[in-house]
Amino acid sequence: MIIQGRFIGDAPYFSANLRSVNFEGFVWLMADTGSSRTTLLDRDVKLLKIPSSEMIPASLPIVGIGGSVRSFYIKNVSLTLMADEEEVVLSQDIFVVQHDLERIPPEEVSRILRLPSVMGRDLISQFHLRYNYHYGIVLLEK
Amino acid sequence: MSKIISHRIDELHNFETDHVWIEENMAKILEHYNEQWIAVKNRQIFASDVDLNGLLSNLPDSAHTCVEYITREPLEMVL
Repeated sequence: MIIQGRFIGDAPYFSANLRSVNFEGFVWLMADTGSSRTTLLDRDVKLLKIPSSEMIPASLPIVGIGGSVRSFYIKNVSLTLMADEEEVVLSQDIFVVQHDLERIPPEEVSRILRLPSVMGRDLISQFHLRYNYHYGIVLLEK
Repeated sequence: MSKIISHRIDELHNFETDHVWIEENMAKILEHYNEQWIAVKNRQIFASDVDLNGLLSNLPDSAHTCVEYITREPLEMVL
């Protein structure tokens, strides 16, 4: 079973459908082997209209490069990926990181909102990742 | 596969195609939408706004729409 990703510039992306109790929608996840957790960032929280009641404050500290953030997780999200002839449905907690956009200068806000949500090792490691930028190949295999 | 699931998968495929379409047509899109958020469905820009919240207020279904910020400003990402 093969899940095909796409390069945008030099960055590898996968599309996915997320479904939870109070929201459902699509996300465009950048595959990031440097990130331990699959994490939704500010833009997708807005696009998916994730209710704050569904986001549980994360007890584990999340450390990244950049300014201060609030971290949450959403329990038991159903994440669907498109494979060649079937869909792959995974159920897992998804992390959410939110910047305090009210306290950030407007030009910085637009940069933060450009940041993509990431597919982390919690998901990638369930597959065999094949990656060859020069041949335009990025895929998850099982 | 049920028709509903099959329809959703088709939509997800279109969502992916829309992201790739933006990348492939960035030069042309920049001419008209520089420093704006755009919403794309089926390889067509159907809404734009300088502000993301402004764009979202005009989208009937933001959760299934490809939304991107168009700018000439390069952004180095170290996440």
